[in-house]
Amino acid sequence: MTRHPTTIDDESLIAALRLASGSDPVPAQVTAAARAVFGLRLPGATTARSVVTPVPQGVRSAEGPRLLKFVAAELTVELEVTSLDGLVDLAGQISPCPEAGTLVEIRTPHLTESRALSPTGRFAVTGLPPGWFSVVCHRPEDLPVVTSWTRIRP
Amino acid sequence: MTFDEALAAAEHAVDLSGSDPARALALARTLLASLPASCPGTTGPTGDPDDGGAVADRSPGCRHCEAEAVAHRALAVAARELGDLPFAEERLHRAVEIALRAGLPHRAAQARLSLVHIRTELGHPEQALAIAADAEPGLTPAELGKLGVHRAMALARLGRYREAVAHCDRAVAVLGDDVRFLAGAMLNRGLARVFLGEFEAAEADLGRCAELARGAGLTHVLALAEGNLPFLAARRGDLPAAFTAYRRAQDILLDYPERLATVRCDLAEALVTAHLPGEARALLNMAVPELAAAGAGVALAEARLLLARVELRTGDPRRARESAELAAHELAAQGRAVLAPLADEILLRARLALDPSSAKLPATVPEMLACAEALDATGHLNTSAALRLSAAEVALRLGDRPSTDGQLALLSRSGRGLVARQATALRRFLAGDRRGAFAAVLAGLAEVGSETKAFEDPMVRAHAARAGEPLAGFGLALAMRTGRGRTVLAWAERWRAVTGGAGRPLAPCLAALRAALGESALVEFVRHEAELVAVAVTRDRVTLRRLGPFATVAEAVVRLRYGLRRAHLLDGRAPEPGAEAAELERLLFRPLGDRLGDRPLVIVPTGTLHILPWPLLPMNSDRPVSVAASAAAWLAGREVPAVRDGRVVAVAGPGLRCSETEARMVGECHPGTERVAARRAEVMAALERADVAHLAAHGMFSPRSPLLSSIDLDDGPLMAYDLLRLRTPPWLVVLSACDAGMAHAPADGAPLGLAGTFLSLGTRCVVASLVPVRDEETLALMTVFHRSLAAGAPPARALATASGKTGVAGFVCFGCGDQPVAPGPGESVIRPARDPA
Repeated sequence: MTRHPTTIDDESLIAALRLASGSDPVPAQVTAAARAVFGLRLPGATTARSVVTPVPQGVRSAEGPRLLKFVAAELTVELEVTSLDGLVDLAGQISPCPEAGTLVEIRTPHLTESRALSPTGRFAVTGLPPGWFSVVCHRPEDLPVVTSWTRIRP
Repeated sequence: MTFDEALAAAEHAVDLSGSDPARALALARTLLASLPASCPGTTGPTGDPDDGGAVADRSPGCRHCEAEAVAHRALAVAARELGDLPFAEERLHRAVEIALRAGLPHRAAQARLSLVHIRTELGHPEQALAIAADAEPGLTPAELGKLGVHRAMALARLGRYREAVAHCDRAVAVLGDDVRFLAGAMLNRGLARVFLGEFEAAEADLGRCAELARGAGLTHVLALAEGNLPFLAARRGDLPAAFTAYRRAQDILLDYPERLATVRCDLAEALVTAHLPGEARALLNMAVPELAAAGAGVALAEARLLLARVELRTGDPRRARESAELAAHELAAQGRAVLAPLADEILLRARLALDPSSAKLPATVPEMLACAEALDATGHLNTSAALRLSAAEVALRLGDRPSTDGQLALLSRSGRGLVARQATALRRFLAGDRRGAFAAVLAGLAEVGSETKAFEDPMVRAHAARAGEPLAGFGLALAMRTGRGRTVLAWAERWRAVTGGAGRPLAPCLAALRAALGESALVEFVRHEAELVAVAVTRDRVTLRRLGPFATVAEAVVRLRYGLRRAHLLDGRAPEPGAEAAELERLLFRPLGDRLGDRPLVIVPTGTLHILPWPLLPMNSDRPVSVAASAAAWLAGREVPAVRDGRVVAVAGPGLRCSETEARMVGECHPGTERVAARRAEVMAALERADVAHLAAHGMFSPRSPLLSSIDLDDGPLMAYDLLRLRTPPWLVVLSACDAGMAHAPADGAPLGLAGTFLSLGTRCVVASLVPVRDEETLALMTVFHRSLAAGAPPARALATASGKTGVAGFVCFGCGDQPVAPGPGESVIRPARDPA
């Protein structure tokens, strides 16, 4: 399939020009939010994108758990979200199981938790505040892989 | 249209705004558009002198202006119903202005009457009362009744509930057949009465309101009456009813986002009182943006304040600080000095949580005390006492004994509830009187126990008991300082007795426990601040061990469960959870050395350990393990009367390929097994008469409301709440379903869920899974389990054998699993059931 460059409609173009001309000042909180988001960026990292997880079959459960899966070219990050009493527990698996010394960072806008992987490539963090989060996999010999930001609701 | 017709249409729009605000809004808009742009009388001295009407219309009673004023009021009232408060306010000011200029004092008073309500909602109840005083002289008797209804609301916002009720009483007497305002009076009176704790009267008022509203087609007033039912139920302590009513209100109020937000805030407040901050936080996170969008100032400031409190309580001091700062700002702008110290209190606590070892700590103590003074002055005595206790603790850490002693003396003299008990205990401890300190803690726990015993719902009871958690923690800390395992065990058990509903904080007799254990060992896990502690009891000794940070263990449990769930839910390709299980065994049991040997184990978990599948640890691969809520609960299980007549029942739930085969298998293992249809009534009746019940079905665990956890039957779910009606539950229950053993323990000693419910009713043993299980594998496991059971093995042993032979993991034996259902091979007491015919 041929890839076309992203097109922009006239209305958006005019809005962008108006912004650029300074006639509509950018609200302060927008700039602040943009700066904050920029601060969360990880230069050089590969982004693992969210993919749909299959519905479990042949299981004696009436309700599915919250499973998430993020895929980059050479690495898959799977996550399970459980929440209780307003806080969130996050468990995950990196596959294929990365080399020793790999660190996982679970980032929220306010705090970052770092965990060494278990020998099977698993990690868990308990008691996170609900909201936006992203997981970074820091490998000793490779560029980091980072999952796209995802929102957890309690 | 003549001006008279226009006026009539405007009046009609006002009336319509109650039952159909959207149409009323459209009607008023059309009307305003159709009126001439300006009244001939307002053209001023340069207007056409030939226009004879100008003079006449400028005189009192200008029909054009009157119609315009009423139309603006109609716009306002309709907009208010739809949640746009600022627009409503603007329209009412316009209406007042037009009416005054045209010399129509009555129309101005009417607009002010509506403004009372809007100003209240926008966050200015004091001003609203002033506007009410302005409007009063210009109103008819019936309108004074309406004014009373609006005043009641402002008064309720200011906490003056008695006066609010009195205004509603007077309003009812003069409103005649104005159904809309009568319904409003009932609504406001009902709400005020909820706050006053007069629940019966409140329920009657809300019921009457709903009846009036339904009869008059005032659907949204009806929705409001229904919307307050969750609040009423939650204030009463009836949380299941509160959630049910809330879900209904949510559907009904979908088109009124600001009203729905208010319902959510009310329920959240009640949930905080019921020690469910997480639930409250979820509701407030939905409500706050809606209130902000509607410009509902009063409610918004209160919602933010509450949000700040729950954020702090759910361990998120950073967000708590943000919310409290916003709330403080808004409350100051609204001149609500009564609530301001509450925001300050949260800010101080958030600061302490964010930076517990700050160099600023010495300066924080005087700030805390100043805030406590302000709280006292504004009537928030309980919050103030708790803050003083925290200040005393901080001062103690800083070595500032005069401040500590001063505050503790003040608090213990005040005699205010549990905080006073804790202050007394700490004071005695600091004076070297350990025995006296324990006595103060015990007295406090006894109070909590007698208060919470009254609640029939185990979830409400467990949450209510959490008020005693700091005190119980202090008792445990004192026990830890003794370094004696038996003392730590006793204080852990006392707290579990309270949360489990025993009423009195009693610890079981150690000698009796040891005698009952025989060759088994009991390991009770306890949290001491952020640390995990184990007490191991065997026939000859009691061992106390500190196991390190609880968070490390909790994470290992989450990792292990994740691995297991993946294996069961997905394709089974995930690596075995062996590494995590070995890690947990190291964390939890290595410090106990070889004390346990190969003894059968009784485990009393805490926190996340409630959902750990214990048999999965390598050391337990061939060991009978029972999991109990407390040592006392395990002992009580042994007192359960022996098997009656050995009747076995089996149920096969819908939608599973193997459930039918499994039920047949149970029948083959235990001849005479009764097959029971998978319908709720039949299953409940069978559970009453059975000694052993086997249910193969889909299972669902509800972490937020564990007693809504259920087993899927043909005619719907059988919930833990349904089970509470059982009078003679089975001796042994096998829940062959996903997650049926899962529990949420809001406090140690009260694991809530399906298994916990059976055990609390008197079932001796429950075998159930802590993870999703696969259909075929479960059948394989259960086949070995029942054969072993029929051959005389106790349930815990039978499960260990079955897990070992089939390699199927995830099932746990809860309660007292060490007594056989059948006494031995060949002489099973499981006998054919009597023929029901």
